[in-house]
Amino acid sequence: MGATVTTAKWHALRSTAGDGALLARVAQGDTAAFGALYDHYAPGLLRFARRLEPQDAEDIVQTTFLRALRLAASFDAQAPSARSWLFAIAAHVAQERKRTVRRWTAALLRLSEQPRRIAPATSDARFDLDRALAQLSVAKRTVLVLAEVEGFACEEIASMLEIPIGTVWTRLHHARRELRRLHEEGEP
Amino acid sequence: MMLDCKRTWEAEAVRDGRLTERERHSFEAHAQRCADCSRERQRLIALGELLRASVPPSDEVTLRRMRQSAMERADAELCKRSGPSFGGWRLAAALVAGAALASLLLVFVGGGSQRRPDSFVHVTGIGEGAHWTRAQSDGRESVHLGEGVFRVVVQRAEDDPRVVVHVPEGRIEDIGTVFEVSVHGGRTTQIRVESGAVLFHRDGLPTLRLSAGTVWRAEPAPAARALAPAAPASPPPAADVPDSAAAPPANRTAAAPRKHPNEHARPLATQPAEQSMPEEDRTYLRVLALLRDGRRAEARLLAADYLRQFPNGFRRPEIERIATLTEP
Repeated sequence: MGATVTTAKWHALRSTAGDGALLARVAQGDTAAFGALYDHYAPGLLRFARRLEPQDAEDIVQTTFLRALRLAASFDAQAPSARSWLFAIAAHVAQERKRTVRRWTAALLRLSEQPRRIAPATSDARFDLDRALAQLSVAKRTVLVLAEVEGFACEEIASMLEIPIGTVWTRLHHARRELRRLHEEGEP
Repeated sequence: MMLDCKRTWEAEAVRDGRLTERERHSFEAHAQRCADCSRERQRLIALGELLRASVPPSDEVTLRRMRQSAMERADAELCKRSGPSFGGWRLAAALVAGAALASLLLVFVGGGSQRRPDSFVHVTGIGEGAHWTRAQSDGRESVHLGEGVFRVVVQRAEDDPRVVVHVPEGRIEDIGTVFEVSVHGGRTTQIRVESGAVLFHRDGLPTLRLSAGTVWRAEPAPAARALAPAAPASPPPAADVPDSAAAPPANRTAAAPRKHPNEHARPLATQPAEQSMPEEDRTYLRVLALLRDGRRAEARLLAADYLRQFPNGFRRPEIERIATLTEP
């Protein structure tokens, strides 16, 4: 199955092979390369997915990597980083989840197969912000998290989400305004 | 909170990269003197810091569990692709490692192979400068291609939204496939279908059905044709131009009559561009329906009609058999 790749080993893998070369190896069936990619990007993608759809975050991450495995052959083998590509896939997966009822079935299956997980304790401030963030639309939440938490530039976000950059700016503006109103002033 | 200064909007514009460098320097200098703009800039910074600080920490146990699941799915996926000669031996080795683990893997892999395929649409720009946008409305996923070369991978179930790729001349409707589109100078220059099939609806022209292994290339632009030297006589154009050894079905002949001899693809009978099912498929299905209803004479007549309309038809061998049916 492959042991977890340590940070040192990851850098060793990537120093001689950027993400593009790793994905080329994944496309050839190299599960070690897939494991290395997973170890490096899964934590960040899980953090991102939890911001978009907390109930489906794990499914979103798993689907993202499975899709990346299927699309690995189409990724530029010369590209140094697959970060924006993977986050783009995750954003699309999250949006598709919202449009189907499949996640409700998966949630029921998860309840029957796995022990109940206890949510980590959160401070009041984080809970209020989480609640405010959850009230934004998925579209606004996605661009806000990609820009403010994950640090992507607006041009990157436009490319990742396949929308005009003007749409990214508009959504960011409305997301910030709504989040401020919901969080600072406590208004619905 | 009311702000008096009319330039406070620039605080957000700077943050989002909307201003030129000169405009950004101008705003920075202004914000040094303006309390409103300085305050707005600080509020934006604080909001970003709050969002980053509120991110829940990674849970190592969850990550380990997810990793194991992901690797199992990856193994199952790769086993499906390569068959027993590659993935099967790895799987066998895992099974030998422990009976309990082996039974879990069997259950998981068995479940995975019966899992409904994950539906998605993925567009990749090949090379620099490719740009496109996507939208979803009216139960349809639309992709608008700008300039460049694009690879489109579509995996969808029958009840998923239709996927339509808009190009300058019209649209390409996916029927579950992988294909590549080249758009240059405001024209679609090439469509190459790797797997599955697409319908190319062109404004004012017959719809083309392009199957796996087909490459459609547009005629050069009129100006380019005028400047180009006279081409040598070309062989009779084929109904399809396969890009690889995977040739189209053998019933397609090179001598097919065509309405557009310069286009290297099989044209369908004329139909309104907005209809999603080609006339050929519609006629074929009507023939089958007549047979199912026991109306053999009508089925034979319609089959003969099919052969006249579509001498290079995809279903020709089957329709020929139906056309020669005798009464029971």
